[in-house]
Amino acid sequence: MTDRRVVVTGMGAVSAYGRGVQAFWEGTLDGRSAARPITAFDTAPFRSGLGAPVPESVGLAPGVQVQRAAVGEEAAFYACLAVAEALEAAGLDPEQSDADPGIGCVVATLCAGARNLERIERAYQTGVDEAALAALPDDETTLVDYQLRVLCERFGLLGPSTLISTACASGTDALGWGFDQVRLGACDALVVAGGDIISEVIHGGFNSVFSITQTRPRPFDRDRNGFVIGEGAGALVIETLERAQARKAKIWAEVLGYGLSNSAYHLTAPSKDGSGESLAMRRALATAGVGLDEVDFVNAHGTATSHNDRSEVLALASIFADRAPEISITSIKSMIGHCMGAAGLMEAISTVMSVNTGQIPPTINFEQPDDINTFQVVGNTARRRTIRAAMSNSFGFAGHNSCVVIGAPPAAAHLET
Amino acid sequence: MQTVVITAVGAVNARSMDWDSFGEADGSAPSFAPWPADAWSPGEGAIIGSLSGVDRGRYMSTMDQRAADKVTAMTVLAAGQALEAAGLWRDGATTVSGDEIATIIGTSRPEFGGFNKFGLPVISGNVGRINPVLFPYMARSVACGQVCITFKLRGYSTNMAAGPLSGVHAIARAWDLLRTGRCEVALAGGTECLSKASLRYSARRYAAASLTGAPSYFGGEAGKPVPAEGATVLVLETLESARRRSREPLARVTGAAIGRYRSGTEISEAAEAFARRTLPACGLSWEQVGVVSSGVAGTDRPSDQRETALLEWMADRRGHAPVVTACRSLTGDAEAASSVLQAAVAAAALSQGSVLPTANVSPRARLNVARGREAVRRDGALVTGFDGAGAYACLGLAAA
Repeated sequence: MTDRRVVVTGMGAVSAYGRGVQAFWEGTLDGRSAARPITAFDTAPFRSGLGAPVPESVGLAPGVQVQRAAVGEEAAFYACLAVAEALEAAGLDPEQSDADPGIGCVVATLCAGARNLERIERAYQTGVDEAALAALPDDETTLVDYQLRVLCERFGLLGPSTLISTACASGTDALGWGFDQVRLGACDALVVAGGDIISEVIHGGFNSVFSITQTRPRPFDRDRNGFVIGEGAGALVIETLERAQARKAKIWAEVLGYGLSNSAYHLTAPSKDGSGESLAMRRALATAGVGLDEVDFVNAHGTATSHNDRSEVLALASIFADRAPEISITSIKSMIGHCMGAAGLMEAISTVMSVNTGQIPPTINFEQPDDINTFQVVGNTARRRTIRAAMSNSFGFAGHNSCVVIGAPPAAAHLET
Repeated sequence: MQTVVITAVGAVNARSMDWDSFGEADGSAPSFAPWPADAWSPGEGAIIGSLSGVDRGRYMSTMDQRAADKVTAMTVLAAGQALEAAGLWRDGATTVSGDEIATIIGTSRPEFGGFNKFGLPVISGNVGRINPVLFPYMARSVACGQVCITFKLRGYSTNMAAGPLSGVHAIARAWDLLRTGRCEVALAGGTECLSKASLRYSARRYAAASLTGAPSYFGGEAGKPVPAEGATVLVLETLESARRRSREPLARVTGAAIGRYRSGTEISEAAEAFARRTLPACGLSWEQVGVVSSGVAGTDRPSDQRETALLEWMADRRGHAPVVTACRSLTGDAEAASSVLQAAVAAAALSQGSVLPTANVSPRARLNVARGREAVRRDGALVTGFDGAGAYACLGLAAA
C-alpha cells in the first residue's frame, strides 16, 4: 500500500482497577478479578447482578484536569481521562501542533450515552414537570457521536475524525480505521479512543440472552457460562514511525495491519464453524505481511460464552493448524469484564504492553480446558515470552469481526529510545 | 492505487421507494406528513418525511422479516435494489463471491428506536416482559449486519456513526478499502429512521425554529425543519471490476475529506482551509466543480448557515459559480441517508449531464441553485456536508 509505518507512542486507560495504564496493566498481570456485584442500580430482577464497574473514586483524585460534571456523560468522561493520559505519555499537545491537518481522532463505542438516555426515558415514562425535565441530562449527551465531539473539541483534534460503532468489535475496528488514515497520509498522527459504561438496559439485554455469568467469567474453560459487563476506556496515540523518531518519542509497538469481516450468519450468535471470524484474522495477517510462523500470541475476544469461545478457537485453529500448541492465548475479559466498544482498545493496549515487555496477563478462573482448544491458554498466572507478532480479536453483534496485528517496535526505534 | 467508481444506487425515502422514481423528481415540493401529535410535535404546521409500506419480503426471509425493525427493513431494501441494479444479485444469490463484497453503513440516530423497543420493560420496571429477540436491534450496526446476512456478504464490514455526515464517512471508508485493494466491490450506504425518541430530540432542538411556511433553501432565513427517514446505498467498485463485469460507471470517486475546523472559525478562514486542504483531498479544484450536491437542510441552523456562507464565499471570490442543489428539499432531512443520497445525485448529474432541482429555494438565495432540472458541466462534482460544530465531510466525483 504505502511504506509509511504506524507505531504506538502513547496509551491511556480507565478500568475497573481505576485510572491509568499502570493500574490496568498491573491489575491484569497480577490476575486480579475486578468482578463484583453492581450497585449502580437494582439488579435483583435480573438473572445475574455481576459486573466490573469503574470505581467511583476515578475522577476524584487530585490533579484530574477533566471534570465529570463538565463532560456530562460517563463514557465520554472516562474517554477524556484516557486520552489525556495517552497524549501526555506521547508528549503531544494538539493545541501546540502546527501539523496540517492536525491530529486525527477515531472513537469506538457501543452504548455511550445509554445511562443518560435511560434517565430521560424514565422521566418521560413516569411523567415529570418542566422543572424536573430541566434537571435531566442534555439530549446532546445521548447522541452516539457526543463522545467524538467532546474529545475533538477538548483536545483540539482537528485531523480526520470519525466514530465506529460495530458493537463489541468497535475498538479493534476503530484501530484499523486509524491505521489506514496514517498509512494513507490523511494525517501523521491520530488518537484512537473510546469509552463504554454499564447501563441497566444493556445489562438487562445481555442477561436476557444468557450471556452473563452468575458465578465468574471463565474464558476457554470447559464449564464456562458467560462474562460480566465491564466499564472503562482506552486510548492509543498512533503516528508514523518517521515522525515518532524525529521527535524522539517512546515507541511501544508497531501496528502492522488489520482485517475486518462479517460472519453473515446471525445477529447475535457467532458462526458455528468460525469461518466468518477467520476471514478477519486472515485479512489482518495478509495486510500485516506476517507469516503464520511469526505469530506468538493471541489476545482473544474470549468472552467466555459457550458459542463465542468455540467459534474463536475453531477460527484460529483453521488458520494455525499444527502450530496451535506453540501460540499463547489469553482473555483479559476474565478479569476486567467485557467492556464492549472499549474492549478492543483496552485489549490493544494490553497487547502492546505484552509485545513491549514480554509478559502476558493470565486468563483467570481457568480450570478445565475445552477439548477443542489446543492453544496454550495462559491460565491463572502471567507468563513471560518474547513476542514477535501478536493478534488481538474482537467480535460484535450483527456479525462484525475485527482483528489487528501488533509487532515489536522497529529495531532501530528501540535504539533511539 | 485502484480507481474507484460508482456503478449503482438503491434508495428509499419519503419521496420514492426506488432510485429510478427519485430520479424523475421535478422541483415541486414533496408531500410531507404531519408531525404525529403524540410524538412531541413542536406545534401546528410541523411536518416529517416518513415512509410507509416498506417491502420487507422482497429480499428478507420470513423469519428475518418478523423481527426486523424499520431501519433494518429500509436498509435491506435499498441494498438489494443497488445490488440488483449493479448486476450483483440475481436469482437469490450474488453474482460474485459474497466474501469479496464489503458493506459499510453510516447512521446517526437509529438507536433511539431500538433502545425504546427493547428497553421499555427495563425502564418501566417490568423486567419480566423483556423480549430478548429485540436486544440486537439496540446495536447501531444491526442494519449493516442484516444486509450482510440477507445477501450473504462476508467482506470487510463496518458501521460509521459520526452524526449526520456518517453517510459520507461510509463512502470514504469504502473508497479507502477499494483503492488499497482490500476488496473489489463495496456497498456504501446511509440509513436513518424516525421514532418517538428521535422526534422528541428534534422537537427540543427545533424549539425556536419557524414552523410556518416551508423549508427555505440557501437564503439564510428561518426555514421549517423536516426530520425524515430513509436509506440510500451505493455500489462502489474498482474500475477494473466494473469493466470486467461490463458495468457502465455513473462517476469516479476522486477523493474524500473528513475533518474539523476549530469551533468559531471565521468564514474567511474556513474558506481558506477549504480551498487549501479540503478541495485537494477531494481531488478537485474549485474551477473543476460543475455541480455541488449540498448538505443544506432548508433551515437556519448553524450547519446550513455555515455551508451556504462557505459556498457563497468561494463562488464570489473565485469567479466561478457551480450549479448547487440540495436533495433534502425533495425528501426531508434523513441525515446519513441523505448524505449518501447527495452522492447519488452528484454521480447521476455527472452521468446524465443534468442535475435534479431543489424545491423551496429562497428568493434571497445568491448561489446558482438548480430550480429546475439543469444542464451541468461534467468535469467534477462536490458533495458537501458541515455539521455546524466544526466537522465536515466532503467527497469529490468526476466523470468516469
